[in-house]
Amino acid sequence: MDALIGQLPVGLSIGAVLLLAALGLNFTFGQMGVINMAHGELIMIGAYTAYVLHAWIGLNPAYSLLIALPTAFAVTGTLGWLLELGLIRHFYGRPLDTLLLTFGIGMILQQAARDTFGAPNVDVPAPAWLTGGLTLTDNIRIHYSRLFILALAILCVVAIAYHLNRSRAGRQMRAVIHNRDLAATTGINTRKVDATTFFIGSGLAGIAGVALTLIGPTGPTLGTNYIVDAFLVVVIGGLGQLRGTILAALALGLLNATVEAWADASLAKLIVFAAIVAFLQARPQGLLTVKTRALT
Amino acid sequence: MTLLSIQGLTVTFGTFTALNDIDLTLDEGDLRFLIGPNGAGKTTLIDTITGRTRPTQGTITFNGHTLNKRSEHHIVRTGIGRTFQTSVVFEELTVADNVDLAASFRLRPWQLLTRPRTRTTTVTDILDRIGLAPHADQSAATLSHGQRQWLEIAMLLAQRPRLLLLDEPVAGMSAEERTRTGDLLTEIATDHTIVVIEHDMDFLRRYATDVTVLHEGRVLAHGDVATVQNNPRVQEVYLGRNPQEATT
Amino acid sequence: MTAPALITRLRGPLTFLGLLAAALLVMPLLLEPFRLNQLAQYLCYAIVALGIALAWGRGGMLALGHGVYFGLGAYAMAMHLTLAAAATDPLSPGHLPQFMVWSGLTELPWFWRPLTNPATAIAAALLVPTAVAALLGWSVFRQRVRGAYFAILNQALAAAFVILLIGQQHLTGGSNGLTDFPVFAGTSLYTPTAQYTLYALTVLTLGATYLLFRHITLSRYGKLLIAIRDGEDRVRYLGYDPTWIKTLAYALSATAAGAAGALFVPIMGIISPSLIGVIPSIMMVLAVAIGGRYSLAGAATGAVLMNAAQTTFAETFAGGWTYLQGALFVIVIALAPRGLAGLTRTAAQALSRPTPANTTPTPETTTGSHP
Repeated sequence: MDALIGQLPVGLSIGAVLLLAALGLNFTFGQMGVINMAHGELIMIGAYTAYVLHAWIGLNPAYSLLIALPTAFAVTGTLGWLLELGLIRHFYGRPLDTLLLTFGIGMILQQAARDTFGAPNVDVPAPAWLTGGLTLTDNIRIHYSRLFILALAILCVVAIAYHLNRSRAGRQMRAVIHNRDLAATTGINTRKVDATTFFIGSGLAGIAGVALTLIGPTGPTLGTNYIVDAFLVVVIGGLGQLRGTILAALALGLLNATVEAWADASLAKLIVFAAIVAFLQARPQGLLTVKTRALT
Repeated sequence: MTLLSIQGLTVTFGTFTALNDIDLTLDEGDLRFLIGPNGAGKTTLIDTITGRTRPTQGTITFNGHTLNKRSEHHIVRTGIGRTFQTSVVFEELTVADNVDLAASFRLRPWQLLTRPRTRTTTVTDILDRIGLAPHADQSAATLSHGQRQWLEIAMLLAQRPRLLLLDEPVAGMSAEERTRTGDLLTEIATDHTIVVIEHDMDFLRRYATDVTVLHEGRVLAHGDVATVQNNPRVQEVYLGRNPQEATT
Repeated sequence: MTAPALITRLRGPLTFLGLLAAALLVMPLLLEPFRLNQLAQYLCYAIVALGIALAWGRGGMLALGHGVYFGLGAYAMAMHLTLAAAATDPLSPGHLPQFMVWSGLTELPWFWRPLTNPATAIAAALLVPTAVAALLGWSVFRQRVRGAYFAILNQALAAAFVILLIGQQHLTGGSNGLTDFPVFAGTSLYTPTAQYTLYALTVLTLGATYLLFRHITLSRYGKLLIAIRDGEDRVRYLGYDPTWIKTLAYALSATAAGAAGALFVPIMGIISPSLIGVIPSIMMVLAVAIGGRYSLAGAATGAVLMNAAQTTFAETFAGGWTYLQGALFVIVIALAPRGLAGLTRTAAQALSRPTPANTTPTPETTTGSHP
């Protein structure tokens, strides 16, 4: 039992990382039905942005992290925006094709990273104020960096919720998620909304990437390790559902951590997979869904 | 003999009540027209009978089977077929293949795995009857809008259902096509039980004998066209406040 | 039957027999043993491609995790071959494979034991992938989980499978995989005759799979698969249950992948997690996209071409090849969704209609989007 409680912070922090990676997908997949496999590479680029600020530009680690977050958001957001503008917008309504297409883009981005930064992993030093951790009990200890990621995830969620519910652009976004055609007839410029959505969704990948530099090394295949899990979060959460995504990320994080506590880590993945398939037996549409009358 | 019996049927979506305590019976051989303003619950009623939407309350009995919890294909197998508002045919397949698939659902799985060498007489007969025989080998994507609606009716007939549910079969058709479809319906009605959702008053007057009016999820009136048209409540909610306007 | 009609009717089967004869008799004369072995590897991937074309091209199920089924078939065979090698190895105590000895195992794990028998190994290579695919397919199709969801689940399975293989090193050989297979059923695998036999077996398996899948696509069931791809819900109202129809196609495609894996192992001489993970699985799909997902022959050709290109380019300039592969994805999906086999049709559609080539309708878009 103690061991399980000890896994709680681990589970929460895995969940927070998954949530950061999945938040952007929730936008692009949920709103536009685009399966952006390059999202993983955008995460990777976000991580390298932090690396560049530190190692190439030589920013002090003490505040480099805080500059890296908005910079990565802008860099990957712009990349995603360009991707949508140049390519993805031609493929709306063909989700499986966007999946393969963006996978190709991801391969190119990955190789570009390999050519630019080299194949070996690089490290981005965490600021001194994030070293060490909080000891709760003998068994439970949380690294400050993990706490920071949790706080960052919460901050992102709050910002997104605020954007969706309070701002005009956010309300338009929700209208498009709910019913694209109806939104278009009420005069919403869905093209503009799509572009903005892609910018924000991709920007969030950048933030996730910077966060990942705090808990591990950065390499060209960084994104690949998270992308499948991040998509699973969206699948479990239900399309276009912010609350569903949050719940799913935390549930998946806790499940991963719990299973790993009593089973072998390599077995855990398969058990989690089986649990997801079992979950889909009960809730095939994910945790939260919007009902439609569409015939497909 | 009662073929379909609906009792106390209620369907809610969240806080919205789409169908509210509907009672409806159909006898073998009926040709029933279902009318009502937008949002009256016509399509939801058909959706609920065919298993697409689940009833919140009430029972649907067809030919001795309770349909409430059955899946769509089981309901088709008890003998109910339907078409959709926007016709859905398989564009990658030929017209004949569309009909052939509709006619073959009673085959066992291993029979489906054999390769049909010749067209069955069921398929040729139905294509003749509907008038699509000249287009049999074309891909369904090449059909005109009206022809697609007919193909759907052909597929429905090929299923040999005891009850046919048609959702706006003449929507978007030219006057000439409407007449043909109406004559076709009358002909099919001689040996089938049919429910037709239709908006077109002109079409209704020409072909309907037995009309049920839905409004806001309830049965508002039932009778022949004249009775229904002269019903003041129907005039108020569906045909507009001015009866004169309604009949023009 | 008139003579021209007869010729048209026989053209397909004759082409097929011609290619089969050429592959069996001519290629071994033209290619040196090393190249023939490589061709046999490509043909294994062509068998996988046939399965993906059936599941994805016909049935609309984007099989993004076929590395798993290929791997299950491959590991079943590799485990047998490892045991066969250990049985003749005088240095191996208790006939345990070397890596198990190093991991401190003293007896053979339970799931290895049945594989001592070659017949069991072959059966397992075919049945285990089929059963896993049938179970996954049935449980998700039944709940109407499809499209992108299904593709992602496939990927997740591939990821989990590889992590399991790597993590359970004492049982699976870990990331090194299994390698060094000198004998099968008492005969050496290193002789030219054995190599030719393996090649011929692969050609025949490819031919048989092609014929079977072609028959399936021409049957009512095959048309039903297309109908489900383009309008699954509509098919329910024709009285069919899409669950078993989809599950069957998906399971059959896994059987093909398993057979390919079993053949691949003695030909290649190694199987390891890096050959069957998420990325190799997607590459199998890329090959099918390039060749033409709607055409069985196209898909198989695509697999041979892409794997040949892989060998040629990956050796000389790996980085450039990755860029090229990435670009191929974009180009094929954007400009030629029907792949090489459908180039003329794609071009005809692009010319007959003044629409940009990248919006050329594929079946999924033309009928998949009805309201």
